[in-house]
Amino acid sequence: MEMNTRLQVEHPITEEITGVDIVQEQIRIAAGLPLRYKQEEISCRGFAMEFRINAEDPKNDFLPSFGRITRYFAAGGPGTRTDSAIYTGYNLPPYYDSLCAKLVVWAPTWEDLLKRANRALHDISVYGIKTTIPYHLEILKSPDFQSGSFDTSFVEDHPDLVNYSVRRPPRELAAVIAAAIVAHRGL
Amino acid sequence: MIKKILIANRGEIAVRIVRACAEMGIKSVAIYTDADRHALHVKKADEAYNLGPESVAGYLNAHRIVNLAVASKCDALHPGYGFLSENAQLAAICRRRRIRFIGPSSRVIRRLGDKTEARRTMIEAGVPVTPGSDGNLNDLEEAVGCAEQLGYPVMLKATSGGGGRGIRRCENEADLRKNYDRVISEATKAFGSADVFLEKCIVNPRHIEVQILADSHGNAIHLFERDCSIQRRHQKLIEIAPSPQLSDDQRQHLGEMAVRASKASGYENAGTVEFLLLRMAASTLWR
Repeated sequence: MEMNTRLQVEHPITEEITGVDIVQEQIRIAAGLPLRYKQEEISCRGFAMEFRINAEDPKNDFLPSFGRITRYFAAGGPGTRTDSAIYTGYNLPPYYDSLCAKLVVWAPTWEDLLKRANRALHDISVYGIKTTIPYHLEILKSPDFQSGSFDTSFVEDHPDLVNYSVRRPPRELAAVIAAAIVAHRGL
Repeated sequence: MIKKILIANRGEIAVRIVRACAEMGIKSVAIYTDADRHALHVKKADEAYNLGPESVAGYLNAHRIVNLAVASKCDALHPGYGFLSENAQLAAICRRRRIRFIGPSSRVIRRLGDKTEARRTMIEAGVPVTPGSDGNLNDLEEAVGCAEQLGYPVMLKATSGGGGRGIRRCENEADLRKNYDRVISEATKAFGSADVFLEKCIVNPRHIEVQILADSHGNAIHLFERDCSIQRRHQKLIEIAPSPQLSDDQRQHLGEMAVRASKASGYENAGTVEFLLLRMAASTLWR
């Protein structure tokens, strides 16, 4: 039996499907105000998914990968929300957990969600450190994941998902080289 | 209404709370260690106070943080997640210093942190729990007898445990005999309590959790569930809401159970009730 007496990391997906701002409700409750909603006013619309973008190298047993974020572009567009605390030039300190962004995607159906998630994971870019983004893209491609039926053994049962190619598309490669030149010249 | 909140956290969750404050016209106060001097939550909050050189310990010093809340004229404190978020002492200090703690009371945190007491409360309220021992175990022989009844594998757990510590999976009687003293010693060292209990081990469950909200007027609602089955070594990687593998009836049932759990424990504020669902018998819900 577990009851977690706190706000959870993954609270945004619930906010996306219900439209309730959980943090604002927390504050109102602490102020002694009654709940703004009755149970019958809460409905659940579409599906939402959160990807934990961790500063880790999935190919190296998820070893933490702290350091300077040379470039960061947040994902955007319809149904896409990024909760993060990183920015271009930020030095990710090694003393804390490796979570650097939460990519939250919403869509009206499960099938749409899978497509939008794939688009958003290509949309977000974090340079300078290794992240779990390519691993998430592999999970999305897995038919077992797409079927929507899985249990806590999924990751262990799919060890092949870390065997993705690290070859970057030319556009990304150009951006990395440009960032390196800028860093080197101190521009 | 609350006018100024100290955020006792860092990283993205501190930024998230700053954003909520800004939308509500509430001033936000950040705290940061030297390592976090350039962190985003420091830049985004209305005020920020330095905690000194201790990178992690700085965020764990409850007395110092509440002192800062009082000194900066805050009337509330948000603990975020991790760090002191489930620390009953922080909630108690806040209450003493007349700072509103944005979470449940210290009494409720303590009661739900005691796993056998929490189990008893849920059983009384008619909420299904994972089959297990009737309260704490008195000795190894009671444990062996109990495990025999439950069937292996079983989980031997520290009553005050958490965060994956003070917990062992035992495949058979020899395993249980080997681990019994070990878990007690680990529990005593880590949590200051030698109490342990047994639960049946749910092999490869689906990890489903229900979000609840409860106010101080006795109202409690649920906001449906999240499926957190995609995890690696107990660390969640991807979460999905609602779960794509629940029927509407199951969804309804879990929500009702979570609200019942919330009411039975006298819960207040936002919380999460975790359920472990067996894959093969989706109609049987263990918790």
